[in-house]
Order: sequence, then structure tokens, then C-alpha cells
Amino acid sequence: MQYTGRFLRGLMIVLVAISASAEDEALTIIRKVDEMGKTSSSSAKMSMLTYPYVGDNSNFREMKVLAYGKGEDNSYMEFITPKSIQGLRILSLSGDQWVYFPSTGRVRKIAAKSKDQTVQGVGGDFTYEDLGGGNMEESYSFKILKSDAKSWTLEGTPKKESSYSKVVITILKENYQTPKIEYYTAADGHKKDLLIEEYKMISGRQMPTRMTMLNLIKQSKTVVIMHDAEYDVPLDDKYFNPMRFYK
Amino acid sequence: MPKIIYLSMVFLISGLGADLTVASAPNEDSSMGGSDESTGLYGYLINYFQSSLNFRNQQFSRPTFGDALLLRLKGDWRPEQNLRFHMEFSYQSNVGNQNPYLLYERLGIAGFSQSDFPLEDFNQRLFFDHVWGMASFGDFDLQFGKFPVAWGTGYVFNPTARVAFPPFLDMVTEDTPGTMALLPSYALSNRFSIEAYLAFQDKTQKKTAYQEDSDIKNLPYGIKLNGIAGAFDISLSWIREVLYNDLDTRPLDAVLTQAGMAYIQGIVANQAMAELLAAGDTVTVLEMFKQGALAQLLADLPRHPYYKRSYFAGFDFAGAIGDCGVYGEFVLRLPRDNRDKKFVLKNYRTADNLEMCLGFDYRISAVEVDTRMEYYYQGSGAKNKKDYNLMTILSGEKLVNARNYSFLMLEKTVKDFHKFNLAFFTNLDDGSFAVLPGYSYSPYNNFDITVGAFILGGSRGSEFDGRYTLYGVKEIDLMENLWPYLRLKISF
Repeated sequence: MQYTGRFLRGLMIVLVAISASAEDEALTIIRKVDEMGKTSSSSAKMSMLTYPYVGDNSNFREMKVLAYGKGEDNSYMEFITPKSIQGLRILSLSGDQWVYFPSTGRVRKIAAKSKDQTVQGVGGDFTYEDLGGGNMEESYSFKILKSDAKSWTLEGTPKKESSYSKVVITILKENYQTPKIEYYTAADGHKKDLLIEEYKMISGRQMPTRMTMLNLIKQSKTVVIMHDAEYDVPLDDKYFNPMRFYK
Repeated sequence: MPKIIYLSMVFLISGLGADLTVASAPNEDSSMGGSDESTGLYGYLINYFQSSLNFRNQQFSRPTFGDALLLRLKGDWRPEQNLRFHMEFSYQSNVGNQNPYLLYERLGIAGFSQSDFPLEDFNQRLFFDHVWGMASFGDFDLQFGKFPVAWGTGYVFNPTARVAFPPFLDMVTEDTPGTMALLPSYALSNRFSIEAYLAFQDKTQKKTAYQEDSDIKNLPYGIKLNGIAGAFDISLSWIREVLYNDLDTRPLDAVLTQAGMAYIQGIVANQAMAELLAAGDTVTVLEMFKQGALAQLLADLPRHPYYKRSYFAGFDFAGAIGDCGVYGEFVLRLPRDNRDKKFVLKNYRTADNLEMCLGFDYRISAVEVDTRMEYYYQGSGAKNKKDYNLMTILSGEKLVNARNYSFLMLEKTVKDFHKFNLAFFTNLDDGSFAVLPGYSYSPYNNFDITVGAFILGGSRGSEFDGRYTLYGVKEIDLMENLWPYLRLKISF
């Protein structure tokens, strides 16, 4: 019995050590992924296409925006199309949002929304949580599910309150790009897939320029296409000042 | 993933209720267009067709019809990084029951016969509503021209917006009217700013021109301090409102007594003249006439004591408590004496001089329905429905008659291009109400079709009953209680 007890303790230590080692490796990988996407500032023109029916490519809505980003959590957007809201601007600063409506000349503060809220009024398959900012390391605890010659598959469980029960990320070993992220919820199981379909060399780094979010429950999808992106560019501070971003 | 891509999609979920539509053909590879997207012409055309009829005693009345057409052409130019120019040109045509002159005729206050002015067009008009420029110098911005001075955080009511009449329960107008003004603003930091406006038109933006318009005391102005405290934006303001109102809002008896006295004085004067003429004293009558005419010539220019100046201290806020957006807006009309010389506290009642709105918005995630609720209090409103005064509404002095109102709106979007709305607007004092159901469909990227109705109800003589008693003596059916409509909008 004594021998058996020692064996089990030893096995547990080994398993914990292996597990810790695996977690350390996952952490190293995810830090690298986070680092790849980190920029001090950004400027881009983007198109967003939302398809209410994933199999019907003739029915979609298209929006074009001019977008500036600063740091991890700050962004400014100005709508170019649709024409009905041309000139509408949105400033997001660390979770707070202000919207300028050119038709009324009024700036409105937008309340925080529930994290699992999907594209409201406009459609789309991204939730606030998907867009919530911060890096992967802060949001999830990762472990390696699978490793082959070309990629790692990491499973992340949320460190804090989340609408997802887990995420599964595919990471290419060659360049730390993430061609696919799977989102799972307790209620729906495998709910969404984010597919990054195109990378381009921009400002000296490989950046995603086209991605699709597939909603497997609703059978809908949203496509984002980047045009004219630049990173680490100087930007006027007024775009990130809630007192005058609309001036 | 790069932050910019995350954030680029925030707008999709920001709950704007934006009027976004379905594209007719795939265009995924389209580029973003020219090098300066903020320059260009765009706008919209709205056609609003409405029928009006009464439903009473389980019977429909014969309906009336009308149509409103609005073209709004907008232009943006940015000649340099720190300079902006914006203009909005409108063509508007209103016929049938959408023409306000029909309402004036029905009320008997048209004041003239339209046929006496054959060159005047009572159906359509062309005008520039917004024409403004802006120059920025560091954190200082100067806006000038004709532009919306849209203060406040409320959605339906804005007690701190006191320079122009806002569109109210209006299915055609989408834009806040412009006001000729100067508006300097200075951002002290990312959390504090100060702004002010000096306007050159009174709130009515009347078409007539009087000498008093050039008097500095009749120039509206406002000063506002903006700040951010935690999850809330807050503002403190000081406002002078100027309103030109020459509509007679006195009780009927006072109006008739004054007119009668003038009539009697005329008879007495004419009788005296007639007696002199009968006695053959033409010279005296002629001399009296000359003296009267000369006195008129030498008198001061005519005065128009119809400018009302009011001073307000204001406060507003907007923020969030949990997932619920909350906002509020308050102004207190300060006790200024009749000569606009000093503030007096005698007989001042705060409850009569307070105007405020409080509201919240919330998304019921389980059914994906957006809700908004707003309460409005107007201390200067009538406490009893018999005190409602239609003239204060027509003159623009007030938007509504009573003191307490509520607004509730529910909105649900289905598969991105079907939108259902249901709004309830209630006069909490007399119990009358307006229900506004609506459905919008967007078959193309820039085309919206909306069908809906205004359904009005309440007890006889209540605000939304439609039957008003003018001067307490004459009941008129001012508005029908059922207005089905069709609204078409194309954006370009």
C-alpha cells in the first residue's frame, strides 16, 4: 500500500508537471499570437457585409467605414455607407461609447450592452464579447489540445465572466497566424466559427485583411474586408477625445 | 487579432437602430472609393402619404388624404485638415392634409385668403437648412453659419435645447433645424470642455423682420460645461431663450373687451367729427386729421412687445447602470421680472418652472427587443384640460399642453431588414394617448418602405382626443384619431 501511495503521488507530480509544462507552452504560444496583433495605432477603410442567410450570397448588407485605432481599447469610426447614415461617427474608449448623429447634431453616450448581445438592428454575428478588446491571455486560460507538424490547437476557458464556455483556436506554427477560432456556449455547444481567410503584409507585418464569422446556430455570416490599412501611424488626438471627436 | 478589426465591428452592435439595408448584389471586392471620403454630395428623398379619419361610435368617417415630399441634399467638404464646410438643402412640398394651411383654415386663424396672394406658393418651398463652416485651432473649434444647436440627452424631449422647434411626432423631418449662430468650444482635456453659442434668430425663426431683432437683448445664447464622471457624461448650462409670439393667448373675454372698447372709442370719435361737419366746421375736422396724422409720423417707431426672454439653469446626464442606459435632462426657468431687469423670487414656485425628462433604454436579450422609456415633466403645463391653450402649441411656445407625459418604445429587427416598432405616447394628466405601430422593410440597400399609423384616443376634450374647445366657446374637431400612412425613403 505504501508503495502504491508513493507511486500515485509520484504520478500526480509528474502529471501536474506535464500539465504545467503544457500550460506554459500554451501561454507562450498565445502571448506570441497576442504580440503579433499588437499595434500602437492603426488606420483603415473597411467593408462589412452581413448575410442573414449563410447560403444566400445575394442577400447582404454592406457598410463601409473609416476607422482609426489607438492602443488596445480605443477606436474611432466614421460611416461612409450606407448613405442613410453617412457621417455618423462612433468613438469607443475603454468600453465607453459615444455616437455622433449628424442629422440631429447630437452626441449620445451608448450604454454598455450585455456581453452576449449580437448585432442589433444592423445584423451581424459578432457579439460585444467578440469585440471586447483585451488580449487572449487576459481573457482565457489555455491548454494545448493538439499539435501536429503545421499547427497547434489550443483550448481556452474563460478567466472571467463570459458568454462562452470555451474557445478553440488553431494557430499556425510557421507564422502564429490564427486561421480559425471556434466558439462554444453551454447552451448551444459549438456556436460560431471565425475564419481568417486572408493575410497581407501591411506596415511590415502580416495582418488579416478578410475574415468571416459563421453563426452555426442561426445559419448566418458576417464578412469583414480591410482596405488601405496602415499600422503605427500618427493620428490626430481629437479622434479619441469624446469632447471633440465629431468636430 | 489586430485591435482595429475588433473595433471596426463595434458599430454593428452599438444599438444605433441605424437605417441599414440589404444590398441587391454582391460587391465584396468593392474598394472604398475616392481618397477623401468626407467630401461629397449625398442625401435622401422621402415621400409620406397619409390618410386621416375618425373612428368613433364604431364607425369610420370619410377619410382625408395628403402627401409630403422632402428632398434633402447634403454636402461635405474639407478643404484642409482643420477646416470643414457642410450644407443641407431642402425641397419640401406639402399637399392635402399634410399642408399646415389646411389646419389654420380649419381653426379659422389663417388670417388671410390665399387667393389674395397669387404669387405666393402655399404648397412648396426651397431652403438651405444647414450651411455652416468650422475652423479648428488645436483644442479650440469655432462653428459658424446655420447649424443645429442640439443640446441635451433626451430622445423625445430636450428641455435644454431652446433655440429652434424640434420635429415632434413628425414622420417626415429627420434633421434638427439649423439656427444662425456662432458656437465656439474648447476641450480642456479628454474629460472637460466648455462651449457656448450666440444665436441670431429667436426660437420661432420667423419670416418677418422687426427692429427689435437687432437688439442685443433679443439674441439667444447658451453656455455649457461638459464633463465625464465615471460612467456618466454630465453637463451644466446657462441659457437665454428668446421667443417671438404675437398670437393672442389671453382669455376670450379679455380679447373681446379690448376690441369692444376700441370700437366704442371709434364710434365716439366719429360722432364728434360728424357733429362738427354737420355744423359746417370742415376746417376743424381737417386740422384734427392733420394733427393726428402728424402725431403718428412723429411718434417712435412701432414697438413689437412680443419678444419673450426666459433664462434657464440646466443640467443633463447620460450613462449606464449595468446594461441599462439612463439619461436625464433638467432646466429651471429662473424668476425674471417682466421688464427683464432683475431676478425676483416673489411668488416663485419651482414646480411651475421646472422642465425635465428622465429615461432609460434596455435590450431584452431573450427576445432581442430594444426598449426605451422616457418621462417628461413640464411645470408650465396646464394642470387641467380645460386650461389647454392651442395657441401656445401653434406658436411653438410649448410642444404639448399638460404637465406629465410618458413615452415607451419597443423595437425588434428580424433578419436584418424587417423592423417592427411600437410606441406609446401618453398624457399622464388626462389619460389621452397616441399609439404608433410601424413596420419597415428594406428591399434594397438604400430603400426603405414603412407602413404604420397614429392611433389617438382619450376622453372628450383631452389632448389627443382631437376635439378642442376654442376660447371655451367653440368646439372644433382639430384632428382625426386614426392616421394610417405609407412612407418611402431612398437614400443616395
